[in-house]
Amino acid sequence: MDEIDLAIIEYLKKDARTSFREIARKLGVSPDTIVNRFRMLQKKGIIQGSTVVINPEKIGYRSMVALMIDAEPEHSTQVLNKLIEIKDIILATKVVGDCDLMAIGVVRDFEHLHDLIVKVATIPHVKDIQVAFWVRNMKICPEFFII
Amino acid sequence: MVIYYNVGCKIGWKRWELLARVKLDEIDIKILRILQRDGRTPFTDIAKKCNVSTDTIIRRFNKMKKMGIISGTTILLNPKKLGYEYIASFCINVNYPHINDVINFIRRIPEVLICVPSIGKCNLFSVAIFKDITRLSEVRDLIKSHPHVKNVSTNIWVGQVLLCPENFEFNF
Repeated sequence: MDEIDLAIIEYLKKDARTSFREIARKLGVSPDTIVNRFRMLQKKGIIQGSTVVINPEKIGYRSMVALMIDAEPEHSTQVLNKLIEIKDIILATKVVGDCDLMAIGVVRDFEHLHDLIVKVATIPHVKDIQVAFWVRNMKICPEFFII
Repeated sequence: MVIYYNVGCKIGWKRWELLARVKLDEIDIKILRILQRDGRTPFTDIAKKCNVSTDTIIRRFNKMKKMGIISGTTILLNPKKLGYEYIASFCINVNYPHINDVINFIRRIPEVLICVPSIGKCNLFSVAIFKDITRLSEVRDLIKSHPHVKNVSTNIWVGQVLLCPENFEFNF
């Protein structure tokens, strides 16, 4: 990766819809160069895709929550696959540390949070759930999507 | 409270900041769903899929942007390909009166993606990416060395991280 690649990533991180022509003009290279570089970055798997960043607060979600889940180790993959199927869970992963799995979800209110926890708790082989309810800065920031 | 934003336009954008919830219609949701999958989809393609004019799509998109429903568009990067091998989350307990000091302190660490106050298991929740395990341990020690941090528990994310932004509903 050279400076041009990094510059393309920077521009697209801020606005994925920036036209290649505009990036080319700003960097002083031909639009074809940008197209080729972009395809290369995609091919190498550095850029996995693009998405729209939505502010959940504006559509009625009050907050986000991190769920730390203890599960039976031999069934953790099964639990993981069930987790990501649950509505309102936007991220799920296995972890090494003081719990086995972690999920991040969006919640509308405390009732909804309760329902979400019950849904997760009823997945077979889940033993325990600990909750960290985010109180501020709940906007899904672009950096969040680096994951 | 459900208010259609078409009505909202007439009462001005400032007023919208006060309203709790916006009702999106089918076309809005379709636009959002298509862009969630590929943020660079040309407006002409979206228009074809929705059977409306390109102008309508552009107008809807700009409207949602102005209303703050769409904060922007971005690319999804693979941190591992950029040399960031580890993702970890920290559950941090702090002395409450000094929580803002600690937040500012942690947010200055370049590897930190998220640092939010929270209720429940911990007072602060943070996610960060690291080039190697040595740096991870350095950052953990750095956080723990802050005089108002009581304890830090670390969880390193392993395997594939499943992301499903489509899981949240736009209408309920």
